Amino acid sequence: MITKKIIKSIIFSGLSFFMVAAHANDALLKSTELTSPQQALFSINNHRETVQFSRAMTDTDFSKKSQTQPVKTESQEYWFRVSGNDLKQGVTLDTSGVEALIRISPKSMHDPRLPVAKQSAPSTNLAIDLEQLEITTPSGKVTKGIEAMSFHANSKQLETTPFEKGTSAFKIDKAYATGRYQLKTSQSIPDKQEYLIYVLDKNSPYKLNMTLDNQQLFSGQNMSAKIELKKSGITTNLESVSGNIVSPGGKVYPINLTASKSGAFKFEEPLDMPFANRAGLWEMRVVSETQGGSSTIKRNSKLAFAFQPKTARVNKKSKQASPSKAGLTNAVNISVSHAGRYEVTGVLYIVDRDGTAKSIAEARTAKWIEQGSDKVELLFQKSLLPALKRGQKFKVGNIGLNDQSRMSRLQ
Amino acid sequence: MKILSPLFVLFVLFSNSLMAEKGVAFVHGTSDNTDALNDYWTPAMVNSVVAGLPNSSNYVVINCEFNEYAWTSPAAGCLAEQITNFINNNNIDELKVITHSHGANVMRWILSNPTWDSRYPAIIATTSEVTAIAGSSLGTPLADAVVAGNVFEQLLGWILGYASDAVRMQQTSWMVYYNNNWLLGTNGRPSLPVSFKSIIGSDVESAFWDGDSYCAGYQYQVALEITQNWLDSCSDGFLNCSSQAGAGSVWFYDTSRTKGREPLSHQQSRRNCFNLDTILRNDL
Repeated sequence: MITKKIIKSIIFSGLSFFMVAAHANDALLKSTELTSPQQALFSINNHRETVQFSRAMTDTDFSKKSQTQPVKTESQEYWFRVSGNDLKQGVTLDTSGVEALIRISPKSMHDPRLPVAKQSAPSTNLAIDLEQLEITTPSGKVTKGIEAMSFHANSKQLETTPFEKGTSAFKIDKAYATGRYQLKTSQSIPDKQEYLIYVLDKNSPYKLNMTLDNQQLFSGQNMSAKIELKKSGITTNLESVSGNIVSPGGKVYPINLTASKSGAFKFEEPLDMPFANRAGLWEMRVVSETQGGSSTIKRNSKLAFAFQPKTARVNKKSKQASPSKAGLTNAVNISVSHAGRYEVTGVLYIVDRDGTAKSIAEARTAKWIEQGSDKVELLFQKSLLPALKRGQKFKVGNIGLNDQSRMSRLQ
Repeated sequence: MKILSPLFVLFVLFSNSLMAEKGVAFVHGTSDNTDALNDYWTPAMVNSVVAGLPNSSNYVVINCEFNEYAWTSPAAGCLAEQITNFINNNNIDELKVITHSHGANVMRWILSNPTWDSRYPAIIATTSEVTAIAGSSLGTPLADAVVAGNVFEQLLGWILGYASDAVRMQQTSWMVYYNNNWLLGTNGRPSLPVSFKSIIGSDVESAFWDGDSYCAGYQYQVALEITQNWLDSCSDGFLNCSSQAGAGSVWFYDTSRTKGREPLSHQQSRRNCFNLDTILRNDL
């Protein structure tokens, strides 16, 4: 492989270059306001070395999958929290499909005097013993233990799964109707202990669909979300939906969702929350309820998105790509509001006389840049450059810009 | 003889420079490991696979904190450090990487973000191929279910609950974002810089009368059969087949190559079950 590279480099060492610098996505290079330098931001990549990389790449378009692609999810599940006392008194849950899967997990008891790392995991002693569960079916029949379950797993059987310690789960037997059930335990559990009840209604005809138009947003940019309930694929009227946006650090921002004529709910507002102080994605979470015959159709849903600061921009069209001993270089000028590690990416095309462009390589360079302006040099290694035929030229395009310190895709 | 000796030395040096020094790295999945050889892969699996190397001591079993986000220093940083040391200490110039589960995402992070860290380009240049066994390339609904209902403790500004950052990252809509923006190799995205091929686990069998259910531990089979309830019919108990096939190319679905056409559960696909070790050995 190494020998091949050397031979290639000898063959192309005498190449004469004829290039222009151009950008396929010039529209994206327009100046936009950067995040105020006064705003404190976290930095997760503090490497100071400049790193250059290039490789052959024949994909038709490096940024074919745009950053504004919608993201969708559909939910047939819901969850809620109850206390030990609630479980002893009896809690109701609704199903609209046969064989709903129920999971019951004891939750950690938060001790405000202790840091997060010292918070204790729930004890398996708090697990709900399915044998001590009483289930009242929609027809009013009271069943004991596992009688109404087609499948059941206790906390011991589930201890090697990713679920919380003490989790137990069961499926309602398909012989029983859908509708409102009551769960009640005769077990001695602490009144104040919290439990999560999670219902996966996999065979229900109802699905809550949630769509975000854009999974990557800057401050001030409009977020557009649509929530609709489908019954067997047909939109049905949603009665109530509440939602919030949750930061990577866990801060909750309630949002107002508005009903539309189609029966769906929408959220369409610019986002102006403070930036998170840690990496990770934000989430939009919704809870919905709709009456559906003898039971209530409940659904929870969530979708992740990036909410990021605009910490840098490409200043203007870069100067012409130029040949060097190492290959072909192209300098990109950028302005930066916050010191950090920034990566510039670019794609090298061969353009035929008739204007047809074909990508042949990509180059990436990352370096640490202090607040202000700097240039980042892309290098397409000589071994990647074929001899040009008559009338052909090189073109560097699809310039991308990433803030590796904040994990922001800027361009 | 005195005249020949320098020529012989030159010949040996020249021969060595032409011969690739092959090595294998075993990259574990979501977990913090200090002894992945014994705790995650088992020596029986690793020793059987590396028997296919020209020098069977040329392997490294990675031990990192893969409960963190893939890009962090304890995850990808640690992986880069251990692979770099392995390459340098053993003069490896052809590295095969075998990953399991979320290990595929951490490796894919390195391959997709070559300028993130100065160690990454050399790793990419040396890696000849990645074999991703049961990789969680598109995330898993099980991660969504695990994270669901976690309490947000505003006083602490932190999430209380069982899920680690790695589990959060493997939620399906999170992986949509990372695949579309920071990772390569999924549908519609540019290809990875090295070959990345997947082995798919398609089912879980836990019949107590079937001896095959006991490979890698019967209790794990029972648990994975339970968690299959959250997944598609084609799944290994932790991941849908679609997720495992979500990046790079599919090498094979378990039953097409395993002994007795047995499916590989998520637990079995990191152990020497149903000739998986032999298949991997013959591929070196």
